[in-house]
Amino acid sequence: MDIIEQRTNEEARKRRKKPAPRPHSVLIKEQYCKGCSICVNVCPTGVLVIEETSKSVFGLIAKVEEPDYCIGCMLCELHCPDFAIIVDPEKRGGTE
Amino acid sequence: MNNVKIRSGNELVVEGAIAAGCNFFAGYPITPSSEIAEGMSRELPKVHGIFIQMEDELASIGAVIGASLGGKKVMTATSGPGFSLKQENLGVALIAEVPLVIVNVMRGGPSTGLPTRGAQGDVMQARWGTHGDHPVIALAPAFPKEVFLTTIDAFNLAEKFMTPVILLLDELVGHSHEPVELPGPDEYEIVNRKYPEKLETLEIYKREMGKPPLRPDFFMGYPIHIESLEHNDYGYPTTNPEIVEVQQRRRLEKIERHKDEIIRYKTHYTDDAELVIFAFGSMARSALEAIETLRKEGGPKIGLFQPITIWPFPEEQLKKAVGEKDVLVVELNWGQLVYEVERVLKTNKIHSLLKMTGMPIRPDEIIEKIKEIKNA
Amino acid sequence: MLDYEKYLRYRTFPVPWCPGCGIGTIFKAVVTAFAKLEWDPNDIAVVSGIGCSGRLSTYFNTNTLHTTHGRALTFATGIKLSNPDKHVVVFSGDGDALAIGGNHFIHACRRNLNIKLIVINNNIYGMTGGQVSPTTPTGFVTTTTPYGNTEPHFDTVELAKAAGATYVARETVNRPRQMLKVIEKSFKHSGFSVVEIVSNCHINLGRRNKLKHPLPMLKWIDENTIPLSKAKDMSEEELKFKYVVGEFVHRHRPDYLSLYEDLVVKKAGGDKK
Repeated sequence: MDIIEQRTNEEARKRRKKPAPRPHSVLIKEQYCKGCSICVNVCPTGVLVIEETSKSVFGLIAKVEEPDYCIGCMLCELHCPDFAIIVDPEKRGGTE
Repeated sequence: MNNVKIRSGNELVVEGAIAAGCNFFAGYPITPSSEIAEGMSRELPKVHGIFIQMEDELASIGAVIGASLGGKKVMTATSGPGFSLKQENLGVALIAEVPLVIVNVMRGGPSTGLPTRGAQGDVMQARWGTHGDHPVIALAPAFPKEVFLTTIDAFNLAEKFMTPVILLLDELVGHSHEPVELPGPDEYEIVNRKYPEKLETLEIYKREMGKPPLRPDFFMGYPIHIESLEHNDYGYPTTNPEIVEVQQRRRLEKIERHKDEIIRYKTHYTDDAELVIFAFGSMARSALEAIETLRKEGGPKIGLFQPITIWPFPEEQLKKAVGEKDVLVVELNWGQLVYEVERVLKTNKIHSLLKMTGMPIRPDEIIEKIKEIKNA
Repeated sequence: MLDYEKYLRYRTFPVPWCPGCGIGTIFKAVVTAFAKLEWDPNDIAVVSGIGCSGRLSTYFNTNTLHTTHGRALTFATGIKLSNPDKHVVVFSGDGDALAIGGNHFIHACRRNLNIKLIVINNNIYGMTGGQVSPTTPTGFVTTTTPYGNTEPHFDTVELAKAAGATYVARETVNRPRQMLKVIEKSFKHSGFSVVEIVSNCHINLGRRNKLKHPLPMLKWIDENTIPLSKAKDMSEEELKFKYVVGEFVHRHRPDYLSLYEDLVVKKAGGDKK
């Protein structure tokens, strides 16, 4: 049963030119992510994808597939309703 | 009798509240209790307390619960219709164990009823008005000095047992102006809320069965959670049946195990009485006058059991005072506490004089009823 | 630890809302604003009503209170009056604030106590399964308008403005940065502030109106969002069912407590504590 709209963001992947100038790290907290796909949709460079998993309650979870393209814009973290994705946690004092 | 003053019951509630250390009042105008709000609006600013008239009775009890959680000693006052409106939020104060005093100056019901007439028809609402199982403390003073001291008692019990306390007056007690000599501070005790020295955990509701919670209020350095849903020891919502059972029983036991400390009552002329009247509030006074008139005329010797604590119901105290004697229940309603009396006194003969016409049941009517019982 | 994590009560996580529900996004914006303003968690009281947004108070690591349906503002009034120098933030849904809580909403605006109200408007009663609410768009199908909602809906901003609120803004969960800005400004404002955040309920509103997933529902909101600057020169007809976003009111009136202290307490001769 396909309950989400977008597993990858092909549009963003078409638009992007090359990997990000400076490296960024993106952490997914699998114990909180519900695979709602909003982060995949808002990521401007198609870094994130949704994949199936037995861990998440709804069987879906976000995954950092292409970290080199992350430009650190924070949109995924700003939009995430479940505190499940964090950009550059080490540079910001780590996380729980 | 130097500092004798003329005071109404409502005014004595105000003076009692201030004496008890009340520093926050939220209310809404309603006959016959508006004088309490008016008095508090005058007196609280003098003791840098806060008075606010809210947009309705629901808002008033919401505000006092918020202020109580903010560390204040709080009161609200109303009459039947407002008491009905306040029931849902009264439930929050019961489940979250928040101290407050809620005065209900009873008037003729139901509905808008008889706003300017006294009645005692809200007693069962005081017990079961808010939905679900819950403990209740309800006090009903009759005599002027009692109104002052019982108001202080209401605050003390609320703060000690971390619970709302209902103060039941009827319009007759609330509006009758009488000379009264106000007790000095040495004649009453003030109980203040207790706080834990240090919190090891945030399980603010954890405690032995039968004890009130010992928890901080807001802004005391602990991120506590106060919840209107059923909660666990942290105060967070829960539906776990074992935890629900413990929390429900804890709140009931908190009052059940301290009935002796909570129940206040008076007996008048019961030792040599052949029949004992059960009456509270204004009806206790009407009964007392009937009793004293009969005794003066050498008529039958009648006694009075006057409960001040209505809930929890004074079962043992009533049994002890009445023994096997007949009982006459006099209530300004069509039968409410009489059923409690019947439930408790299984073998005694129970008579009743029950009326709610907007007029008080007068001493001569009580005398007539007694004679009728005697002749039967 | 991230700067906003000290406001999260991780013991109660994960958060309970449906996958993709905007309430979590608003939650993050609020704790981010707390962090930016460096508010001490002990100086904050978060009060919430009943409904999906009502569950928010459980997850804040501050003083928190979950009240009864529609009454959050009245409890908050008591908290603020008894602790004037503390921050009191109230979360209320569209049903909680504008239906059952409407009377308290307008009086809180009129009274102008320094309380921060955030109305999470997902245009539906979500918690109870999808009944129509005072903001449900006309024509939408809900469990209590199976033939389409025929009732007109409130404009929260106009209601707050008319009732006297001194800071009023509207944003949507699609625009987290702008949302953070108006939330932060409302927190800094002295007086009663109302920030309405349009949020997506794809489970209860969207599902019955061809917007079943978070993304289509969010897209629908975005397509109906008009910045205030553009809306100024649009007709009322054009703005029907549109969410105009931005800052609508930012004015000053003496707040309730300063009047009470200056006038009432002084006249009564009570020395200020």
